[in-house]
Amino acid sequence: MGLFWTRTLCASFLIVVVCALAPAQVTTRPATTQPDGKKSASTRPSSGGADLTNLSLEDLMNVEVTSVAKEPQKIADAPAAVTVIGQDDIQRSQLGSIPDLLRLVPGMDVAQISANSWAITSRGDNGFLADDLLVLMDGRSLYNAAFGGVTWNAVNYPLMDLDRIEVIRGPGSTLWGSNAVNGVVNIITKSSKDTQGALFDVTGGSQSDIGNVRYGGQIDDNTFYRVYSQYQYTGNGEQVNSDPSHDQWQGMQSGFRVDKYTSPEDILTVQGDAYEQQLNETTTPILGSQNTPFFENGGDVLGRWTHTESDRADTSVQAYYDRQVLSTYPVGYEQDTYDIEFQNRFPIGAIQDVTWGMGARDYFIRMTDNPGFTASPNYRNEYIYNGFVQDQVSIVPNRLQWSFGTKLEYNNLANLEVEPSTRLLWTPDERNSVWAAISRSTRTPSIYEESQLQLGPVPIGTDDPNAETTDSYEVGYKVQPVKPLTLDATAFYNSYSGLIVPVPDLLNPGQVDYENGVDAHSYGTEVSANWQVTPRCRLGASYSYLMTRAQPETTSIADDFIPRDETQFVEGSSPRNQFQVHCYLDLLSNLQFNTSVYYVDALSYINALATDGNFQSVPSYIRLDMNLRWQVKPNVTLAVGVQNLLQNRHYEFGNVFSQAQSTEVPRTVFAELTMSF
Amino acid sequence: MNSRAWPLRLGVVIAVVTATLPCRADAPTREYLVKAAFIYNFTQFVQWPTDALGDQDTPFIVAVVGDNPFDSALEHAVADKTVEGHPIVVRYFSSADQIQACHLLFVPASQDGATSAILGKVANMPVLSVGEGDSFLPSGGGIRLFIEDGRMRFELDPDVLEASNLKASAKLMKLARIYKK
Repeated sequence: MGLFWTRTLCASFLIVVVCALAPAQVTTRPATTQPDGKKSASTRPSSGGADLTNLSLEDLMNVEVTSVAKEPQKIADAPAAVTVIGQDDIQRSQLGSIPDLLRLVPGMDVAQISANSWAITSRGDNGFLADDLLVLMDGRSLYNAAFGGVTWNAVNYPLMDLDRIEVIRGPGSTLWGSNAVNGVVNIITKSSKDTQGALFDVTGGSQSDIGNVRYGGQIDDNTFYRVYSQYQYTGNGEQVNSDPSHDQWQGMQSGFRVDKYTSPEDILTVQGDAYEQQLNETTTPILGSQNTPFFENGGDVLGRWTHTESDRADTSVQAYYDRQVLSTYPVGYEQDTYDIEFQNRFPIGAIQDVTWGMGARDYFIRMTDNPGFTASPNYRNEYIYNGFVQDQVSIVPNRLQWSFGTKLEYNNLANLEVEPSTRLLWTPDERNSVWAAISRSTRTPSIYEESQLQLGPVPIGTDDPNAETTDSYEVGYKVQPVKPLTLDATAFYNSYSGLIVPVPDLLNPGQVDYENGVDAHSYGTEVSANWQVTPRCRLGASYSYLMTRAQPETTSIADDFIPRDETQFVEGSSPRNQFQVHCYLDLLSNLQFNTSVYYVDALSYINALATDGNFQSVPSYIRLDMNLRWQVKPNVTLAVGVQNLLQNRHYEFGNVFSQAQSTEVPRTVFAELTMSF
Repeated sequence: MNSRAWPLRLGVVIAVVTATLPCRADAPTREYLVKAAFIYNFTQFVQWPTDALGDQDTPFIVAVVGDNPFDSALEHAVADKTVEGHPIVVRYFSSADQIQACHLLFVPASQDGATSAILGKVANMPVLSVGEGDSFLPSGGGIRLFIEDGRMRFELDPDVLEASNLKASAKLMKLARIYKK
């Protein structure tokens, strides 16, 4: 491992030397329209490195001047706990994958279980199948309907082509639907208009290697496209007893996006991706670790039309098809999803804005039996119809705004879920805003919680559980006491009822049934601050606190038999305290030095294998990341860095299922080279 | 124990050193570095009438009225560059009364109150007025630079440019947001 990263760093150093010695050229881009400028730019390099005047006008319009999160106007308008991760955060944090980038969100619980699996949730109840978080990419749901969760190793995209990741902590069900109990993560890719030209990005590191290639062009004056390809390889996690672990994995993904600006009011977008991965040893639901290679593949195609009439009226229609295939997982699994959604926003008079929409989603799921593992039934077709409406009323224009609305969902099990919410936003002046919200959200049972399955030695039955319901109460305060400083605080109280847990079946000894067996409540706070100390120095910090308490549901017939485990798991799967501090410095206009420190508290009820061979609860850890980013030329950037500087390796999560073996996250070093043409 | 402590020690040293690095407050902000680059691009993608440019030795003058939010960014953006062979120079005028001959006039947001007086001085002349404030275009300005979703954008009033005898290239018009009174 040491030789590997030494070689990688040497290779990166050589690339830098070659670039520095190459003759300085004014960058040219493929001509797509008649050149009509009268450029007579000198080739003498200007002082201070990065010369913005060498960029074309189109590229200049892509330069990130401020990150969206620092535009207080927009954030102050939202009566919710919103965090936006923009390109500046992506580049300066050097967190190289989408699951890792979510660490930047205050109160988000991101734990890497092994080299190829993550447990990610917001506000509690974490696990490989954390099911209270709705994750979307460009509006397409990444939820795995059978097992109820997100397979994070399949969530990939070239990071430089991401526009932003918007995270709403807290219930998003009214607008986004069920399974958005504790948050919504929306990963938004850039319009192909903003990703023109060729781009190569290569990262070599002691743990992962990633290569991205993208080309963007123009079909006509109004139609833009891009195509991309990404390859990634990640090596094994560490084991305490220095046994070799086998959780390395690699994968390839390619895709395209076409945006047609048919008129000033209309945009038509078509995009698609396809991926395949090979994972050696992974944590699987129920079974734990498997030592045989898994193959996953999938793809999607999505079309969206947006029509903007004015800044208060717009319409959009979106349809997509998505396919996920997990081979030998313990049963072969295929999921085909068809989805269509419609949304419209219109004003009523001067003070009301109404948003409403409808949609339908169809899941076709097929599971193939393997010896010893059967799923019954092994073909499922589930559909969900949904409709929502929300009214936003300016009770006092620019001062007091009240919004209320509800989502209605009807699924093929003839269950109607109603998810209402109401929010109040008070903006006493430009610098302060206070908001409060009450919402009810639901999480519908996943297919495996409703089916008879034989996955391994324990037969799994079902008690036909109802959806879990959660009532949330939130307040928040945002203030900008002086221009360079913004502070944001949120507090919440959640009451969960009917959490679905596996319970021993009284009538069939040895069998475990899924039923609504546990109630819980949680409360906590998230505080964050952003301070532009000087034009070249920015500090960011956040702190979060979470406390969860669970108890068996007293109305359940089998309440004596709800294993103590289940309530302890709900209480102890997330850290109590977390904080992070970031220091982003522009040493020169083309040289950045970025430092991030993260502290994550211990997990009281998740156990991992310790050096003495016993299981102990996962201890707290401090992570220190540092990187240097050097813009060698306007179109060439080199970054080098180290992650987890303080510890050789550490656990972030542990064994949840009896056979699972989590691995430790090692210290890593890396170098990244980005070139655009 | 020694070998395992080095990363911690290294981390502390680096953190302390960077915390004491002087953070110079006089460097131009990113916003004005980008605006300076846009101003340079406007000189390249707008056409001035030949008689307004004068003879070969007459410089092309980019002027800023009021305070200077660019520090040295504007000089760097136009250093050694030309408009149709005319070298570009930067001049600073302290107020509307001090405005002399120029080809492009930048009006910082701090001059919001004096915008009418400033624009009155250059109305219907071959001078491209570029500003920042919300009221710039309604007051008769030519191009307004603003930030949207973290990126720099510009809004252009074609009638004002036409009245000034200036012609914006098709490329500039396509990238601009068009302002109509």
